[in-house]
Amino acid sequence: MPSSNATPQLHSAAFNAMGSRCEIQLYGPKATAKAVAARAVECVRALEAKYSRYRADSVTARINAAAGSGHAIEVDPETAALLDYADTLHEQSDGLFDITSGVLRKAWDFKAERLPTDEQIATLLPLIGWSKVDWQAPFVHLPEAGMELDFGGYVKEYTADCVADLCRASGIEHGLVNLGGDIHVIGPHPDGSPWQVGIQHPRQPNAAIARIPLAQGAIATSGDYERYMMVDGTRYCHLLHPATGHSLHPAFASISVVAARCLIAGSFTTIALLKSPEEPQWLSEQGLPYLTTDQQLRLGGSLETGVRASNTPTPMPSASVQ
Amino acid sequence: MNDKKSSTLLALTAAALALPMASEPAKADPPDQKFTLGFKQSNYKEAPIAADQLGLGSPERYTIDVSHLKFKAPVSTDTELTTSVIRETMSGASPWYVAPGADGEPLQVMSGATISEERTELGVDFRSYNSNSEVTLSGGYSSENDYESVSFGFSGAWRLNQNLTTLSYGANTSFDYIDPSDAESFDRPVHETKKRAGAMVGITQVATKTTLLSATLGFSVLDGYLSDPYKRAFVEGNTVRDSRPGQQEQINLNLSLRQFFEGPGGALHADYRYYTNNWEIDSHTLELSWYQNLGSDWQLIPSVRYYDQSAAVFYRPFYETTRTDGFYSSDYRLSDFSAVSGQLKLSKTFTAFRFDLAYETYSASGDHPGLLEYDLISLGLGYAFE
Repeated sequence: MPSSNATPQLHSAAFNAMGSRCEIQLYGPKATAKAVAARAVECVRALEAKYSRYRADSVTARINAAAGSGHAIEVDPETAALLDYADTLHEQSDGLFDITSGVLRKAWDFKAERLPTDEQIATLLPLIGWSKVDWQAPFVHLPEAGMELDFGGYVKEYTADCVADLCRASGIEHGLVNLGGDIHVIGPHPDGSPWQVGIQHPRQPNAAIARIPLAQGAIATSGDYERYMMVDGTRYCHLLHPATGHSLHPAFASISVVAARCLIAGSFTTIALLKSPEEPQWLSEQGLPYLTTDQQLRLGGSLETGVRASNTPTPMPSASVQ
Repeated sequence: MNDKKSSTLLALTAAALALPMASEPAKADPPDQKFTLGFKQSNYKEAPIAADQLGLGSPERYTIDVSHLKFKAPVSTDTELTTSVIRETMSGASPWYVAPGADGEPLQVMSGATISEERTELGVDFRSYNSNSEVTLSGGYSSENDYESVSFGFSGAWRLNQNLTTLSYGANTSFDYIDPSDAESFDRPVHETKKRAGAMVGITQVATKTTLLSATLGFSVLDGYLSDPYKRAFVEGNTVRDSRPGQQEQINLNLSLRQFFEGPGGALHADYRYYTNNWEIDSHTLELSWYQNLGSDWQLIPSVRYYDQSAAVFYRPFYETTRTDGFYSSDYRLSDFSAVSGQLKLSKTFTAFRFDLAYETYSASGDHPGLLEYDLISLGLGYAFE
């Protein structure tokens, strides 16, 4: 029986995974919380290894290595469901969210701060297009050599959900999973009070532009600040149009969405950013609580924020959540 | 929000629900990283044989006091070790053989009320767990003055289908050494051995949020001395040793249902067991229990059990002629009988401490004069700490 009378202790585990700073905070008896946190970190590492583009033994690498070979790769049920999810993302974003567009990173070198040539982009465009992918569960095949799938656009959010489920299944009722700003709340603090989630300031590293109280559910944030380069005073960010291969200029510097699952929240932030040059109002019609920061750093949206600090950013401690 | 737009949320949610773990997983049972100490004291008392069914000897039967101490400790984050010690002291008389009365009715002849024995059993379980499977290695040793037994077991489980399905399996074996006391005076065998090997497979399925179904199939083979050295059989006016075949094959099937009812805050446990062996004993057991939560972590558990079995092919209460196969046994446990029992258990859990108190009464009926009636009272205490 759970020791309901004992004061639960907060156990934190911080680590780097999926290219982000991650932390898991759990309340519970010390040994239990520690053991569950260890298993949670293991779960993140396992999914990172499974879907990493950089590991030759990953599912992603296996699928990509067979591109153009004529041989379909059989995938496991989890990967199959993620591919079905990618299909839904593609359809619901009118083709803007495309997991085959990752190949454009070969032209877009944000570290070098150099724009790609039209020729570079033109050679990559034939390799892009989810509708070209031969996906008939459980077999997937990329028809052109050089085509690539990249689960990076939503696997971190999915992982946050999995980890939160795992913690709940192990009896944790109060805690939070934060994978680089993709956050799934397992449950509020033991006294019932919500977690205060710091929203990354889009123009000042390690500063929060707002705080969102969240007692349950998930929140995800995306913005034009994650990977970008400034060339001749213009910001070129990692949001690339799959049809033109060019960097988009989103109407918002950052978007946060609250939903029951982090995967859903993250999908909406990304689709909303991709759609924002043409349809900046799209997110406001979806019925989910959200927070936007526009290019003039004005906050908008339907979320109650703890601090509206558009002009005086509050410092964000390394743990962005309290 | 217009229809086309809200459909995005519906479409993404539907696709997300197809992902593993997106639905609430069933709670598995990982090692809880706690130390637990459990103690149980039981008193088992058999009712005396009725005067009109007693041939010779004492009507008083066995009284057994059992002390059971169990200690579980985490070894690492995903392994735990459980050790247990059982100490039994028994005294009283036991059924010896059955003889025909004046009108040919079977009468129980009892041993003198001189039996006084002690038995000690040690057990060790090592359990290793990960998110999708677990294995347990077990070892046991039991000793009394005329009987020693060593056993080994291996069991495991795989959790599939987002933890909704559990496949379990196990195998076990035991080696027994039987060296009856006072063998010479009472014509009993000496230095006998018995081997047992068994295997089982099972499946447990979470059918709904409140329903659990499971089925288990087991098979065992026993080989060696399977008779009872302290019993005899009455054959044509003489008594001979209890003598059974040296081999037995057993099959058992268990089906169970666990159904929680939110209204009354209680759960029904229904179990059916079928057992058959190649001595032609078939048995059926039906057990129904109701686990009622009473608030403040009190729980009351009434249960009833019905049991029915057919007799072994060579069993008779006594024998009027000799058998060509040479098998004789008048053990009431091999006879045709049925039994009912009722139990009431009350338990209370505190933060780290729990106790339970249980009473069971059992009564068997059939044509053997030595069939059992007994009462069992037990008190259990438990303590968990980190």
